[in-house]
Amino acid sequence: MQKILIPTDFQMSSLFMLKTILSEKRENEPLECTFVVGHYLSDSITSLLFYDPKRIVEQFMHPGFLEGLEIVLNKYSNKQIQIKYDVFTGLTHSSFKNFVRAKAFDCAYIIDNYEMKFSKSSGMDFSKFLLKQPSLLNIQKIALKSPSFEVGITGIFTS
Amino acid sequence: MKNKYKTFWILFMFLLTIMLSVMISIYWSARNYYRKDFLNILELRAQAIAHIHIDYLSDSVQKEASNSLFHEQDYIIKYTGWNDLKQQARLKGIDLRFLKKIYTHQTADFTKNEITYKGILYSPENSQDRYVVIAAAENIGFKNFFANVFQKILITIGIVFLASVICSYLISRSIYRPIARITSKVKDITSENLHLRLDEKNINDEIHELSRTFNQMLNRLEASFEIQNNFISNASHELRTPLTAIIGMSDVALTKKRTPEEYVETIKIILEEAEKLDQKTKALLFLAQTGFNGKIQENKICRVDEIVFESIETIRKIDKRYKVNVDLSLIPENPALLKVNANIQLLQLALFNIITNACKYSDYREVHCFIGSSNEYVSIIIKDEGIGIPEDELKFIYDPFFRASNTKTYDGFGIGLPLTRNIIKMHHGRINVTSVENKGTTVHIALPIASI
Repeated sequence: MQKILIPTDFQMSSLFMLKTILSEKRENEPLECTFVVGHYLSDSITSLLFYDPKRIVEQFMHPGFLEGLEIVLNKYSNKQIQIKYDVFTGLTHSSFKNFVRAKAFDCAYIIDNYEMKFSKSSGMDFSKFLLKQPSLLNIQKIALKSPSFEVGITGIFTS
Repeated sequence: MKNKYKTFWILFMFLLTIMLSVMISIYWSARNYYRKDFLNILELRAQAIAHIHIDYLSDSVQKEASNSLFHEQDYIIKYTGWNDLKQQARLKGIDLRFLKKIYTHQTADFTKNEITYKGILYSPENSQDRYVVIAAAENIGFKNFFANVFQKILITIGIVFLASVICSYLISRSIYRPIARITSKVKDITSENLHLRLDEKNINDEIHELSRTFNQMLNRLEASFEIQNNFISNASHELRTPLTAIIGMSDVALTKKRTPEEYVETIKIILEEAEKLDQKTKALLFLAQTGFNGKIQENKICRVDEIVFESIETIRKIDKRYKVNVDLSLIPENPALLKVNANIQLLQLALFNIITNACKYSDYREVHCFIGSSNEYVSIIIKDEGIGIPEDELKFIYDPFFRASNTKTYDGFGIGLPLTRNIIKMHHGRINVTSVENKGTTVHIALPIASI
């Protein structure tokens, strides 16, 4: 199974990335796509004690994201896809290296020249860690230019 | 009983119970401590008496033992048999059961008429004799303590009572005063002054949340009042316009004799206006039917994409300049996910209205239509790059006969969107319109997938 890391802000662009990945892959190739959101963890003891990645993911997720995700997955229902969510809270290159090794990702997809738009101020774009350590993972860059796709998904995201 | 008083009583009883329990427990522990301490003293006294009178010990012990207690009485009974013990008990006025208890348990105590008795079974060294030694005295220490403390306890109970009343009153008032304030403010808001709002600060507590919710409700209420007012004025205006034309034309025609051609021309105009009036009343009737009764419900399982294509086909027949691009790039693989339980004619009409509006208000620019399916809903999204809707008018778009301020140069009655919304509601779906003026409008329709 190929494990793919997708740095995300849980906006339309992440679904566009997923669609691009799925359109490129063959039918019998099982995939595990993990949407990873970067999160600046505060220094307070309570946020450490009550650290819950699921809750953090829910806070970042746009209300239309899951509906959009289901639309994309239904389009490629013949493919073997597993979707996961995770949070990266590190601040250094080595912490990112450890994270990637622990999760055993095979490759990562990022959007070229894209500025992430987080729904919370604690969101962090960790793509810089990926780009500065090219030997760590196989990085694929995708250009965000698909007006027809945007028509549909934007409709859901603005609802 | 009002909640305010209920809260007061609950708090008052709670505080009073806690404070009284604390005081009672302190009293009981002090009482037990004094009794235990006094029994220890009595035991020591009994032992000292035994040493003096049975063992005949030194002067220092005698000196120590000479400081007697308040109302002290000491008894020494030699055990020579049960009958003798009974006789001694009768003579000295001691309870026989107490003596038996001392004999069986080596030591015992009991209290009678404020006199505490402590007895021990004593056997001198190098002797087989056994003696029951009893020291009895009044616990004057506890008596003094109780006399001193009782008054203070009474005063404390009074203070506790008052403190409970004040605390309960303050707490219940602090809870209910903001609610009372909101109630009085809401009472002031009537249909005449619906613009009034409650004070809301940016504080994240329940009371301000309530104020915010009230204000949101008032916003909706004000909008619906406005919609109602708009509907009456718009409807009367829309119905009056053709009528005025008909009356005007008829009046003009009747002022003098006309040629047959002029009459034909006038009647044509009158017919045209009457047809418009007919169209408007029919549309109104249809709107009322879809909105208020559920009789038009001949639902069938049908594919959404087919309905979209049929609607587009109809639109193209009406005006060939209309351009609609259907995006099927996210259409689901499983066709079952495109099936909805719908009244085909009504759904076609709803989509026809939306797509026609998109084409009309975008001056024949290309309109994008997208079909996708989540696990519960089929989504149809129609996006145009037209004139859009001004932001402050978006809330009136479902108001019958309402037309946005930037649509004066376009034909229309303002019935299409409210009708579409009624149809989508009938199908348990959702409709959402987002728009930016001069940039375009996006309409998202979501219909529940039919369970087969």
